[in-house]
Amino acid sequence: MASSQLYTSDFRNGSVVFYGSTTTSSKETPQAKRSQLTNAVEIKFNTDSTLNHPICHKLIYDFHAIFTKAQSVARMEGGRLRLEDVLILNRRYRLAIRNAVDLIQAEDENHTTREFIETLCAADTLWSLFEAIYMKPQGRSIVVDLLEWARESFEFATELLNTVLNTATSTGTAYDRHELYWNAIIAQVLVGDFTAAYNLLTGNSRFEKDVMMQRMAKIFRSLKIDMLHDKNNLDDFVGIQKHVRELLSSGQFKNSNDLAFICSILIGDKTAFKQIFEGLSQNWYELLPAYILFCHPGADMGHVLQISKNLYNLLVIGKQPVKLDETIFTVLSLDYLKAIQLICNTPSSLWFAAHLTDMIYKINNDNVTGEDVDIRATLLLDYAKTLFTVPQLWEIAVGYVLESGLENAMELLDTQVAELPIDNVKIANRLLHICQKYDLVRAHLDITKAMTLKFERESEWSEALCWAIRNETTELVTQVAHKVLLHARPESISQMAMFEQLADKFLLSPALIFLHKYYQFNQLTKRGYLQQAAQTLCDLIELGLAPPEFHTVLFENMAKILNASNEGDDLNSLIDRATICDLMRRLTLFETQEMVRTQGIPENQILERTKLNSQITVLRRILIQSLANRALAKTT
Amino acid sequence: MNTIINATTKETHGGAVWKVRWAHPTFGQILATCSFDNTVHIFEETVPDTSDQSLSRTGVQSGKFDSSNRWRRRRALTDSGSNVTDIQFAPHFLGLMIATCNALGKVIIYEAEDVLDLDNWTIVFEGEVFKHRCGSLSWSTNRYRHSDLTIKESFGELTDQVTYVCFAPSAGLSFHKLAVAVGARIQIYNIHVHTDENLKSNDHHDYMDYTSLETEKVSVLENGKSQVLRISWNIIGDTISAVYSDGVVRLWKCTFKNNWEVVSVVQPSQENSSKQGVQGIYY
Repeated sequence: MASSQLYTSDFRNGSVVFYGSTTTSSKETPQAKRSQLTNAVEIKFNTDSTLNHPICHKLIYDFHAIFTKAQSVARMEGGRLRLEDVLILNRRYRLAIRNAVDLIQAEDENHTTREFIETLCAADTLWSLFEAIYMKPQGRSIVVDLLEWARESFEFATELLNTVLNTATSTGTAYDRHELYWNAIIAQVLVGDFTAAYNLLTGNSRFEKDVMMQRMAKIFRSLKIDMLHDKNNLDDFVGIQKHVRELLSSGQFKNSNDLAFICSILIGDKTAFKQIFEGLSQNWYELLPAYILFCHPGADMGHVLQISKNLYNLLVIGKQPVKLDETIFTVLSLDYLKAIQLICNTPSSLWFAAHLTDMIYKINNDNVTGEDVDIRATLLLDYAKTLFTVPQLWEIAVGYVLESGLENAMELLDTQVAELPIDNVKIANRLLHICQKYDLVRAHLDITKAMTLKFERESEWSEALCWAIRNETTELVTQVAHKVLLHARPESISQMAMFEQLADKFLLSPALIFLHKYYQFNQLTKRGYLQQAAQTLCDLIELGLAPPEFHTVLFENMAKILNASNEGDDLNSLIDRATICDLMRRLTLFETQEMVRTQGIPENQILERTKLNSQITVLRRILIQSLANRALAKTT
Repeated sequence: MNTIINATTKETHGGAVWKVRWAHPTFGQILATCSFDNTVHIFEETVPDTSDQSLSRTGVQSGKFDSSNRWRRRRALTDSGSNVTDIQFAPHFLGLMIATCNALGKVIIYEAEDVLDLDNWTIVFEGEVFKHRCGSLSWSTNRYRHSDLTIKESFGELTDQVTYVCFAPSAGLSFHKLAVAVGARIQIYNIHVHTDENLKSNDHHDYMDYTSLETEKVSVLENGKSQVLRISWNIIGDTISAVYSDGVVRLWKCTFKNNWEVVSVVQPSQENSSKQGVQGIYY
C-alpha cells in the first residue's frame, strides 16, 4: 500500500485538517487503484472560540479605545509617554481585563470560559509585574515595587479584608469575631500593607487590654516600607526584625498563636511561608513580595530571579513550572523579549502581548533594550491579522495595522482588505467604506471588480454595471457595457433606472454612452416623444458603437417607430430627408461590413444572418416610404 | 469535524491527475487539473437556471452546497506535448491566466480574455525554460514591483532536486521573497528587480530588456534528512509550513531577530502509522 497526504485549511475557522490516504487494488480490478481518505487529524492553530466570544469582543473594543488614546497622547509627546501617563493607561488596561473577568464569571461556566478567565487573570498579574519591573522610576527598591505589585494584583488580601468588614457590618458583630479575622491581618502583612494590618489589630475589641496586640501594633506602625527605597534605612528595617525575633524567642507572644505566627512571617521563617502556601495562598508568586521583604530586604534586581526560584522550590514540590511560572521567571530575569515571546506562544494572548509591548515601547526607559528589532510593529501586525479573521473586528484591525508604524503598512492593508471574504453586497459596501476612509485604491478596485464579475455571472446586468461604474476603470466599464449589449434583453436595458443617477459617469466609456443613450431612447418612447426618440435612435445607429448583434435591435426599433409614423395621417416623417438618406447609406455600409465579417462563419449562424437581412430589408422599405411621405407632404 | 460530500466524480483525463488548482473566487468556481496525459482541463461549476433566489449561485461565495450544481469541463488545453507536471493560476489582478509546465521543461501561459467565456484560452507565452523536467511553478503576488514574475531562473548552486518553489505573499515588500524546497532544505531568497532607466527610456517596450534580477540567499532552513515535499507561506510571509517525506509537518517562523525556527511539529498518530506500515510519503 502506498500513502500520500492532503491538507486543507479553513482560513476563517482557523483549522487545518490533514488527511492521509491509502491506495488499494481490488480483486476484481487489480490494475485499478482506488484511494481512500484516512487519518484525518484536525489541528486548530488559533483558538477562535474565545475570539468569537462577545465578552472577548468587548475586551478588544475597550483595549482598542485605550490604545487609540495612548497613540494620540504619544504623538503629542514625540512618540513617547511620560511615566505617569503610562501608569494611568496601564490601570485602564487592567481595569478592562478585570471587567471582562467579572462579566465572564457571571456566565455559565464551561471549558472555554474557564480557559479565558485563566488567561485574563494571568494577563493581569503579568501586566502589573511588567510595570513593577520595567515601568518604575529609577533608583527605587525592587522590594517595594514588588510589594506594590502584590497590593495591585493579588486580590486575596482585599477579598479577605472586605469579607471580614462586610460581615461585621451586616451582622452587627465585632469583626474580630470573624473566623477569617487573623487571616485578613496576615494577608495585609503579606502584601506589605501594615497600615491596614494596624487598623485591623487596633480595632480588635480586646486591643485595649491585650498587651501582646499592642506590641504587635507598635511593630506594624514602625514598619514603613517606603523607607526601603533608601538603602541607608535598611539597617532600621533589619533592626525591627531583630527586635521581633527577640520578642518571639523570649516568649512574649506565647499566649497568642496568631501573633506568634505573624512574628514568624516578619522574621522570614520559611516554615511559616510553607504553612501560608498550604492554607491561604493558591499561587507561590503571591508570596514572593513578602518573602523577599522579610528574607532578603536588601535584595536588588539582580538577586530577584534566584530568590524567586528558591521560593518556588521551597513551596512547590515535585511539580514542573507551568507557563505562567516560566514567564514570571523570565520577566524577573530582565529578559523582557523572551517574556513577550512566551506570552505570544500562549494561545489567545496576542492581544495582551501587543498592547503590553506598545506600552513598554512608549516609555523612554534605558532598562528596555530594543535589540534593534521592531517587535512592537510585528506584534501589532500579528494581532491585526487575528482580528481580520473576525468580520466584526475588521475596522479595528485596520487601525492596528496603521498604528504599527511599518513603512509598508498601507500596502499591506491594501492587500489584506482585498483578500477579505465578500459574502454579500452589504459586506462589500462595508469594505469599500474602509477603502474610502483609508484611501485603499487597489482594494477598492479588487472588491468592485469582484462584485462586477459576480453579477455578470449571475446575469444581473444592472447590478454588474453599477459595480463596474464604481470601479471607475474604463476597461471594466466597457467590458460590462459590451456584455450588456450582447446578452441583456432590450427591455431590461430600458428598465435600468441607474442611468437616471449616473450624472457624468456615463462618460467613462463610449459603450456606456451608447447604453445611456439607448436608455434615453426608451424613456422618450415611453413618454410619447417620438420625434426625439427617433432622432436619438438615429444617433445610436450613427455612433456605430453597438456590437453587430445589437444592430438588429436598433433596426427593429427604427422600423417600428417609423412604420407607426408612416401609417398615421400626418405625412411628415419623424426624421428629415437628410437623416433618412444617411440611414440608408449606413444600412448599405453595415450590410457590406457584415458580409465581410461573417465570411467563414459556420452554417449554424445563418439563421441570425437571415434575420438581420430581413430586418434590413424591412427597414429599407420603411425608410423609402418615409422619404416618399416627406416628398408628398412637400407638394401638398 | 466537517463532513466531506462527494459533489461529483469526473473521469476526464487519460492518465494520473497530478495537480488540482482553484482559480481566485473573483472568477467564480473554476478548477484546473493537469495530468500525465499531457493535458490541462478547465472545469466550471454551473447552476441550473431557476427563479428561486434562495438557491446558491456561482460567484464570489457560492454559499450552500446544492446538489443541482454541476461541474462542466469547459476546455482541454493540449499544447503541452508532454506530461504536465504543474499548473498555477496567476494572481487575480493579472486576469484569468494559468501557467503550465511539463516534463520537458516547457512553460506555457494561457489567458481567458473574456472571463465569462471559458471555452476560449489564448497562449500568451510559450517557451523551453529548462533543459530537463520542470516540476514546480509559482507566481509572485507582488503587484507593486513587476508583479508578472514567475520562476524562470535556475539557481546554479542547487545540486539537489528542487521539489517545490513558492513565492511569499508580497505584503508590500520592495522585493520578491521566494522559498525553494531543495532536498531536505528550504532555501529562502530575496529577488530584487533592477530597472535600467536609460534602456527603459530608449523605447524598449519589453521589460525583460531593461530589467535585471538580483538574487540573494537569506536563509537556509534545515531540520533532519527528510525531503521537503511542499511548502506554503502564511499571509504575511513570516511563517512557512513544510511537509516532509517522513510524514511530518513543520512550521517555521521568522523570529524577532530574523532567525527562522521550528515553532511547531505535527506528526501522524502512532496508531495509524503502525497499522498501515507507513513506509514514507511520496506524491
